[in-house]
Amino acid sequence: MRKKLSRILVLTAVFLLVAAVPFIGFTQTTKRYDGVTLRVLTMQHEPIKQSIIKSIPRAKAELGVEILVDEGEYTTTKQKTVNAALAKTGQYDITTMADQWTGEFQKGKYIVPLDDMLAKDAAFKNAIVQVPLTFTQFNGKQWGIPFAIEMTIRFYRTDILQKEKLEPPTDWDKYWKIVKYFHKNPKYPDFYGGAEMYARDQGYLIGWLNRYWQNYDFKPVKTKNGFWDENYKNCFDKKAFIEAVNNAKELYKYMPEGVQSFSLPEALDFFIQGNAASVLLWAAGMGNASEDPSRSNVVGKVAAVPAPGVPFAASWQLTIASASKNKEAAWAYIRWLTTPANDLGFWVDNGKTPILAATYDKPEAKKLYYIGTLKDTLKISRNCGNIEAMEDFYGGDLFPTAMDGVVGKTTPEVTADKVSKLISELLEKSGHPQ
Amino acid sequence: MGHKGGFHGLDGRTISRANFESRRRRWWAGVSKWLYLLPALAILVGIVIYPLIYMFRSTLFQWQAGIFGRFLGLSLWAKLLTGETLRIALTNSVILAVGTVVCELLLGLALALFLNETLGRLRTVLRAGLLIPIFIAPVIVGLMWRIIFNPQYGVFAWAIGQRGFSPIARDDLALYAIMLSEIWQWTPFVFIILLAALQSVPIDVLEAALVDGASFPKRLRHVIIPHILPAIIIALLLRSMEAFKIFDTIQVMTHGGPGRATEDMTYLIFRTGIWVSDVSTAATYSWVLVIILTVLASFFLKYAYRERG
Repeated sequence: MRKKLSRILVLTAVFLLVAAVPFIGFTQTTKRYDGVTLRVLTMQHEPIKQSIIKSIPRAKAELGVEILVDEGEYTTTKQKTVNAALAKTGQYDITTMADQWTGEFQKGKYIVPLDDMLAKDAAFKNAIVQVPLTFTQFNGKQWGIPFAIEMTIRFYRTDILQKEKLEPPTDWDKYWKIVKYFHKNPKYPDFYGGAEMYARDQGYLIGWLNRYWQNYDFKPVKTKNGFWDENYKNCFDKKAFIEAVNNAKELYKYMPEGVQSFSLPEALDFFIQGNAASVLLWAAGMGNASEDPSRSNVVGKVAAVPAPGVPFAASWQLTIASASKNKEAAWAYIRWLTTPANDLGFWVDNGKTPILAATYDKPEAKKLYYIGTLKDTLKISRNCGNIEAMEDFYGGDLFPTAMDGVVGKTTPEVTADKVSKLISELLEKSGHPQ
Repeated sequence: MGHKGGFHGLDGRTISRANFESRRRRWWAGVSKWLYLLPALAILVGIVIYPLIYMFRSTLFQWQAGIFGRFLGLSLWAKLLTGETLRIALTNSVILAVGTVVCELLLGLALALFLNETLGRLRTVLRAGLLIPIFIAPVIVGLMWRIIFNPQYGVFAWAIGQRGFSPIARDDLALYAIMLSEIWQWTPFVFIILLAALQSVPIDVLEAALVDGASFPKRLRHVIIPHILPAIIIALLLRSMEAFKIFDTIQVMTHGGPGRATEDMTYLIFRTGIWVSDVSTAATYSWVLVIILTVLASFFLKYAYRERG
């Protein structure tokens, strides 16, 4: 009897152990980093910032890692990253980096290449939308993982366009039709066909760049951006630029009078308050603002199309600082931020553009109306490329010089000569003799 | 080694004790003045001279985003001094500086003259009220004027009856919008300096002029202004230095735009040094600004010393 009882007990114990193994394996799949604190420097755009901040408790629960967040706008984020890197304090483990900083940051060894980590995670690498991944490839290495993809999107009012039997602004002709229709239309006083963001400083976003790429013949020249070719020789097309500038110059006459002073939030507010039939914004600039009833007068009345011409795409990427003492944990956190569940959740909750290709096709992603537009835009968009002096390209004299042509300070022909010369100077500065 | 009544000098001659003490005192007088100056000199060298030299050194190398690069020599100077960017920024700076300072001086003087004649409590109330703008942070002033100039709901557009109009959106008017905000904020500064100076004008001289039948413009020209000229020069000097360094209001109101319409020297240095992180270019522009401000300050101080006689 005793023998029988002991046999039953042993068998039961063995059964329970065997049954428990799958569960033990499941809970121990993700390595935990208890006691590790990661310092993350995030860009201030709300979709990016909120995605990181709101997920801190979950990161702690699932990874064990403590996340401390610092934030900054564009120039502050760069300054903080550079200063921390120069001081070698390890102040930040992860920073959100604009892709145009890659050349400088990799040259200064401020960030580490991620190729080894990606090599061990090929499935993840293949799951990412490939286009923005190329934005931070420099000298044959991968320096960042996309976290938010910025694309120029034209958001428009479905109700008003349907009412006036106007087609969505899918190309320049249709956009021009809308803009001219509402210009000084007595039926729509103080209402405009379009508004633009950043006209006051980043003048490229008022339409000359989209139009320039549309005009540019990419077939005979091996170039991705229409400014330099694969051998880093200047291949700027002055004729295409002149037409684009003339187009933008004409467009200005139909824009709201104050548009040259609009910042991104002002252009967004102008549109969601109901003062324009359309607006050109970064996707991340819109987020889910148009559907927020506390600030939008156009809830449920907005749709989106890729910016007419060739849309512009850029990205904010997650990078690991060279001075970080927790590189393994930092990579684990980046992987956690970019899991399919988080990628979808950040999009639905905060409007952060997804970085995994599969997210774009998920039914839940359609909760925000412009997911399909983002997918379409990625297919046709272009980026301005990456050289060491890329920051000079965006923040230097090139775009203000182009704006001189748009506002009529200089003729488009003179402006084209100046812009071409500036491109050559940038290439020389980046170590590519012309 | 001394002995009773004297010391041996280095040449072997005997020096009297009194002589020795006298030489020692003279030596100490010569050395001590430098010792007393040493702390101030150390601070001057540490926070002014050395950084200037360091900044000049950085104009000779390519230095961007913390990466010290190749030697450029004076080629960067040659390129930037002949470039369009510097010319535009310098022109904007001069227009801003001259415009704001002249308007602040005229308005400040007018307000000071008016308040000087005002008696009683009204003067105290007006003086306090007029000083409010200088206590507001320039960033807030910039935000305030940005709202005023908003094309849709700003007071300015409403006042001129043109909804949709905004001077900060026009490349031909934006600079004058910045100027207006600066004049609004800093006229009280000039006003308070000149008011204090006006109150030191001798009353008997003024009364004598009045008795002689001098009209107000003549009294102003021949009595008041000569007396308050040093104060005018000080106000001009201080405001000119500041007017060349306007940044906060530009950053908030226009970001240097539209295009480069409101980009002054300080904003240009910010754009190249902070935004683009091109330290060598920003340092070169900074040196240009230092030279201009030094020449300006020298001119004013020379004139002030000459007037002092």
